[in-house]
Amino acid sequence: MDNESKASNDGQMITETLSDPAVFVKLYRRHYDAVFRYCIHRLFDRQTAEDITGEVFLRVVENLGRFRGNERQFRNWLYKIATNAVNDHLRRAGRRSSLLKGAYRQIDSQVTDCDESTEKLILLREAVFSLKPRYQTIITLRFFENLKLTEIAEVLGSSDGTIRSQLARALAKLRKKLKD
Amino acid sequence: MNDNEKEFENFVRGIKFDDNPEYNHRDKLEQDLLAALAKQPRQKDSPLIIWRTIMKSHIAKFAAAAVIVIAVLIGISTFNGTTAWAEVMKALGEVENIYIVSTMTMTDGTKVQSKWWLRKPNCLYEDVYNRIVIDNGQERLTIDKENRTAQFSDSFMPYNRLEEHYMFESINRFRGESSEEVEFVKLDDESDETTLVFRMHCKHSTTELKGKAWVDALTMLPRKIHVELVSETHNDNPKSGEITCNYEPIADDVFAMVIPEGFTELPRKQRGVMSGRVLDEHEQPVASAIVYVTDRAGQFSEQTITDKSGHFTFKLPPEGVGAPLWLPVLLRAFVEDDPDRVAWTIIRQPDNKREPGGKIPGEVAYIDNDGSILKSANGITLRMEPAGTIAGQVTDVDGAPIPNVKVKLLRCEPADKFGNSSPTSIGVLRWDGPGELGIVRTDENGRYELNNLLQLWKRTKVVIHAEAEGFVSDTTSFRTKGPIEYEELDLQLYRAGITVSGVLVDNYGQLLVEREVYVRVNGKVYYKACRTKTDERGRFRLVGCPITHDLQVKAELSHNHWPPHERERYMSYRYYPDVIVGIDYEAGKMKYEVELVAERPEIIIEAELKNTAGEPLPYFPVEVRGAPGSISSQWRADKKLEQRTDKNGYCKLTEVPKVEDLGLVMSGSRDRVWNDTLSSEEGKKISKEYRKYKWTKVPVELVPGRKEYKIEVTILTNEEYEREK
Repeated sequence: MDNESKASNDGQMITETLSDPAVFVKLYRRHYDAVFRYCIHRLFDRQTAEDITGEVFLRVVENLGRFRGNERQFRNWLYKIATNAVNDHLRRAGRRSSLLKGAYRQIDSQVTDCDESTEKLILLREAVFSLKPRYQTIITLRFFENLKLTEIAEVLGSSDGTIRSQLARALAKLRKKLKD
Repeated sequence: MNDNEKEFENFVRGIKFDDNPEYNHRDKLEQDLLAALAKQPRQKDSPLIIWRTIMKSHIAKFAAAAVIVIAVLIGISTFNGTTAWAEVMKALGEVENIYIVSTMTMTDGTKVQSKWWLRKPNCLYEDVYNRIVIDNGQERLTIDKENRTAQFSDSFMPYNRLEEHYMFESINRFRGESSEEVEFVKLDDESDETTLVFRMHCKHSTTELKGKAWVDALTMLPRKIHVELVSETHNDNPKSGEITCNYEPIADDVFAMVIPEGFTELPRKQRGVMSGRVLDEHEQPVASAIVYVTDRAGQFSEQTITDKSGHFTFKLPPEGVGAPLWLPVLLRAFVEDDPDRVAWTIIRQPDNKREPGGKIPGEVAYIDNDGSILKSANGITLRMEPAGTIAGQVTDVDGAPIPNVKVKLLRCEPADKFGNSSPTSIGVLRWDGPGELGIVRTDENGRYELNNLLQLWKRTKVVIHAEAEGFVSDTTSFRTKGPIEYEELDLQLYRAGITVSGVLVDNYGQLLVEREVYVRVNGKVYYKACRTKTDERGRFRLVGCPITHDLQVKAELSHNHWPPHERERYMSYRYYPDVIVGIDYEAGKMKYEVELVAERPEIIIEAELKNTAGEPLPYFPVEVRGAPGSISSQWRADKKLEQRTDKNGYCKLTEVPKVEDLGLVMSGSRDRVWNDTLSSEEGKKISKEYRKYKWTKVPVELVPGRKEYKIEVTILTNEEYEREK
């Protein structure tokens, strides 16, 4: 079977049955971790990540009928929704303050083991939040979710080349921040 | 990867994220999602939407077009309770054989024909677009008309059952569904003794369809259905469609596997295989070992037995089937009556760089995967190693042992390289085997023993589930200190039987509807077993609650469970502090009625902020805080429980709830608050200036009966604070 028709077959599997609670639950369980992890890596705060994870899947429920594609595309679609949800949240919340607050809360609770890792986390958080949301997304997808450039391009609806250059720019900025 | 990337990756390595969601977050969210899913208008199932969306997919178009025609008509089946059509539906659902020919007329006048022969339980002939598929339950032949090739493979039927074929699926899906946008009328003047004629008309947003169905009066099965698109259509969409149906028993020769003349036969499509061998500690093969495999999603779970030379083989589902094997895959092997040894490995995505935090034993010589789907894996070597055991006693609250309790290991989450135990550390989600493998029952002394467990490494979070008739099933978790060698875990189950019903109102007598109510015992929540929502009269009923003095009922009101897209409901949501009420348990009494009264938040706090010099602090961020978990961040944002002072250093917080540890937190270094009055530049500027002020929390002492509070706060600078200290 050629690739195209295979993809459409897999996709059909999803579209035909997504509204079936049993199928939905299966997909949900399979992807919950990935979405949650992505959110926490973007937001640095567990509670907010939980909230946003909830929002992501609610958006999924709302848009089930619109999804077309195979499982891999479903995952990318989730990342896309999660990216939008996180960015919306950052915009809404006024990103630096309330998130920093959240992250502080997280760090406060770890005060007992304020080791190198925690310090690095603070550094990383501040550096990442100083970037544009798009760069934040690319950094997180690349280094924390281990996505390939082509996959990131799929999530963000862009080309490999664009992502590569944006990644380079984001890294350069991060590097500067981390060195300061 | 260039140097910059490597450098950053090195930096990131070792950073610890607090990436364990609250233990029940996943399950709770699942419940919410299912509720939301049920509430979703079924529009995605409505035939017109299917028409539109399917048309977007080039390949699925023709396959689906005929389904739509059926679906459109079936979708209107129960409309107005038209009994005649309801009978058509019933008959269709019971069909054993169906032969459908669909002819779609495209806008440019071309016609596209598709055919299906479906014979329950497992025979299929499908001629759609440029492909013919024949599947007789044992074999499958796929004929590619475009490339003039044909290929045999194993049948898909064990994995994609015929009842789940989209033809039957759509029939079943639309049975019992009604739609108000469809009009369905029996045409008496066109109907006669043998044929009933129905007219349909259907309008949904900009799409409009009309059609006719000819139904056999005797069998009540549709013979012909014709649908025409009245509204505008895009070029490559069908303009009209007609299907004819036949229900005669289908002869075997329809499903004969014959390659048409002039077609090239491709080599048979091989199924993926997972194979390897089991060895003992001395590299000797282990015969008759039970080997079982579970994929991440728990869709594929099978077992087999090793042969004399220790070899085992699993056949994987054929490619293209709807139940693939998701990585990571957990493979385990043990010998019956040898509880202390196990051989295992986890097959992970080869390019997954996450380190699991410990060594995964076993070798895999060859992995063929497509992203996270495993196609085959060969040369697997599993070596026996010491196994772990978790044992204990299951008793009721009085200490009496409970026999015949089903106990199983639900999850194991070993610490990852950062020391966090999380479901993601090794990615294995399902730990029970196929069938009853991995489930044990307690003996007459209530003892259970889970054997042949992986020892894993470091600390591991172990989740154990126990259920027995007449008891509230329970999930208990604990963390081991190191590898699982021998762990004792006693479980206590509550007898089930109490029914708690009641009403949820606020202190103004307003009924609180669709709010979540569940049961707690000593702080432990029984989400799965005992949870419900209040109905439109604010009433709830919890059945099968644990019989104990410590039974409490909790209404969760501090979180807004409406999804944000239901904007009106979301925005008009009224938050209250959570209400927890204990039950006055009397021995033998099984039914309780409680009234949960939520207190409307109506405290008003006026605050004035000054520095030590007595100057007001304008635009200073102030937020209301309570005991952890009492005021959600959602609540704070929605109800303006965080603000900035005005230009005179004054702010007024209204609708503040009465919660424990109520206080105000002032933090000058914040540069944004929810619903901020300042632009981000202004916020940043002012936070720079205010960074010198100490983070301050002022408790608000509540006086019964008093609603308004005025607070003057003097904020020290960090310097002043240090000096004073």
